Amino acid sequence: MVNENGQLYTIEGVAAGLILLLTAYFVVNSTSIYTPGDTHISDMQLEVIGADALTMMDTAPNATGKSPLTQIIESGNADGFTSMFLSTANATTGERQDTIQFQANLTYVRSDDSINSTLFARSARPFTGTEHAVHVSRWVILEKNLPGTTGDRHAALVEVLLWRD
Amino acid sequence: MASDTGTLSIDFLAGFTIFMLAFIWVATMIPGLFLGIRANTIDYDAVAYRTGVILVEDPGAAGTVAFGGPQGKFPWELQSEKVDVARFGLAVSRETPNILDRNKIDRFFCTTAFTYPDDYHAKAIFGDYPYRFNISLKYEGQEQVQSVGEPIPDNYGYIRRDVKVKQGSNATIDKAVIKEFKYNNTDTASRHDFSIVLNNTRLLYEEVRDPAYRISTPTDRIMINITDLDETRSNKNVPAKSTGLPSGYNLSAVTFSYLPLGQASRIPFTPPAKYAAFVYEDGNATPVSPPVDVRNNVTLVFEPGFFKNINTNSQIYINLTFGLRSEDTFLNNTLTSPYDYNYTATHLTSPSLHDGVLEVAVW
Amino acid sequence: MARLNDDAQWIVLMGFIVSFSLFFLAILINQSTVVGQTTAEAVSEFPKNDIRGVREVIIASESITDTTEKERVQREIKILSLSRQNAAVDFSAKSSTTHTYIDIHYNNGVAAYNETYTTS
Repeated sequence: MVNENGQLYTIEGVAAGLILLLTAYFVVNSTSIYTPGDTHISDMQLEVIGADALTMMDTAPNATGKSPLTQIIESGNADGFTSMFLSTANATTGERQDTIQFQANLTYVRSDDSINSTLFARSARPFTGTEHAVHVSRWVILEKNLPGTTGDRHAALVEVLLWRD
Repeated sequence: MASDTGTLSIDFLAGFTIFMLAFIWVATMIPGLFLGIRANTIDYDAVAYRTGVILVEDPGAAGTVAFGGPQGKFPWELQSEKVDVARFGLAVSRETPNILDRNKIDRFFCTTAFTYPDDYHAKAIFGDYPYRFNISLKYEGQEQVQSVGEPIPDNYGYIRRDVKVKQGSNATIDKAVIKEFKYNNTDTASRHDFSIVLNNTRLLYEEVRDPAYRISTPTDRIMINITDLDETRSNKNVPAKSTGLPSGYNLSAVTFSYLPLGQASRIPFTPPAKYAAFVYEDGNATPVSPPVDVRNNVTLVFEPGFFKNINTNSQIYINLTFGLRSEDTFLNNTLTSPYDYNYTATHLTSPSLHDGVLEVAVW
Repeated sequence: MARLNDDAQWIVLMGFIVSFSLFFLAILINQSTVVGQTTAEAVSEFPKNDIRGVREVIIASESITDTTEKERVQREIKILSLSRQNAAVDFSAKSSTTHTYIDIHYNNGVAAYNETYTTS
């Protein structure tokens, strides 16, 4: 015989079960703690520094001259790029310099429309792939014939991967 | 003992509803309760980033009060009242991010004109929370750091920006220039006047249009060095000596006038009173106002804002009158043409860009 | 028979309140780091530097005098932005007697940017 008393016990049981499940859900959800690294703040800072450094290198000293970046790329001066990029990107207002490392590629379009990306310059420590690197790029117009192209004027991208040591 | 046999009653429903309403009301107030409590790195980095962008990529703005009045057309760094400054921004122009104006920087870091933290918070940091901060700028290759704010604690939000700082232009009129342009060929002159012209239309709108490189007379520092005055002087009776010019208010007056575009006659112009002292005599560190006794060199420094009241399509004439006897052969171009202060002028250094780094820390 | 034990309800209630308040605190602190994350992501995801860069190079390319070279450089800009910056870039210029007007369109799926630049 069905006992008509105690439906409240059933409701209570179901409610308790729901509360347990809900609690478990919230706890699991809120204990996935974000560390500052997960929040991409350092990535954002690196990106700003890298973009600034490339912009500064691409700023000509006077109204008519070429920018140092264009000159360096046209003459293939990898050492010049390395020292200029590192001194610009690592400069701080304090005593200690930053420890940014980089790898720069020059990317351009060949005459058959394929993309060519070659290593142009890099800092002392090579990029292994395990670093937490960010990517910045800068457009240049080069007055130079590049391998696999025709003509003496080309648009190219200077692509830089940078990371902190 | 509680009865456990009853079903849900209206009491329960009423009670539960009241509870839920109260609960929802309290829950909506909780965020406000925690407004003042902040864990590290909540939005300090975001605020630092925003402040960095405002300072480095924006030229700033003069205040709303100023826009109605006569001061409204001037940029913020030329406003004398701080209420007329709406927003700090150090960029030369909107088109030139990361290229900063030297005068804006000096004005920004002037803690006598603006007070930390209130003025900086209201005009550069923004937000309701009373952030504390430190903003500093260092020129590459120099030891000195310009900064505003408090010492930086352990945990703070941070951004660093690489910048270039635009410096003012200067010209040196020395014996080579004087000989080249025959500025002391004055046999028939009745008195000694030397004039310099700054052609605004040419300086601002012709060969150099990029705000990063052009000579902007209203907002840039302009420096004119005149040297070798004694060496290029010759007296018909007494030969030039290395001991200097005979005393007696050699530079007796400096007068200014401007010629608006399309007009025939020049209009006299008096610079604002705060710039009255602009003559550096023989390398002295403090400027004086004319008349001045000069020995061999004189430097005229027109600080930013000196020519701010002159329309940017006029030509500015600076006239130096020397109180020497007319029989002396001396710096004088009344018979030739004024020294044209422009990008291609001999011995002129155009505005140059210096590397720098700006750091913003917020906590 | 099972029966509700209604002794010591205060202890149970207090336990309840304490656990709930802990709960809210945890959620709030959790949200606070999310603020930093969303800001950083917003900065990284909005292609400010890409737009600025492509805009500057388009304007610079427009001043090339040799027509063949100009066309080639401008074609290279379109190919490179599509393949390296994942952005569709299109632009065209028309000249009047005094000015050149450059229509610039940039779209990378997240952000779109359109401008008519007038050379001075």
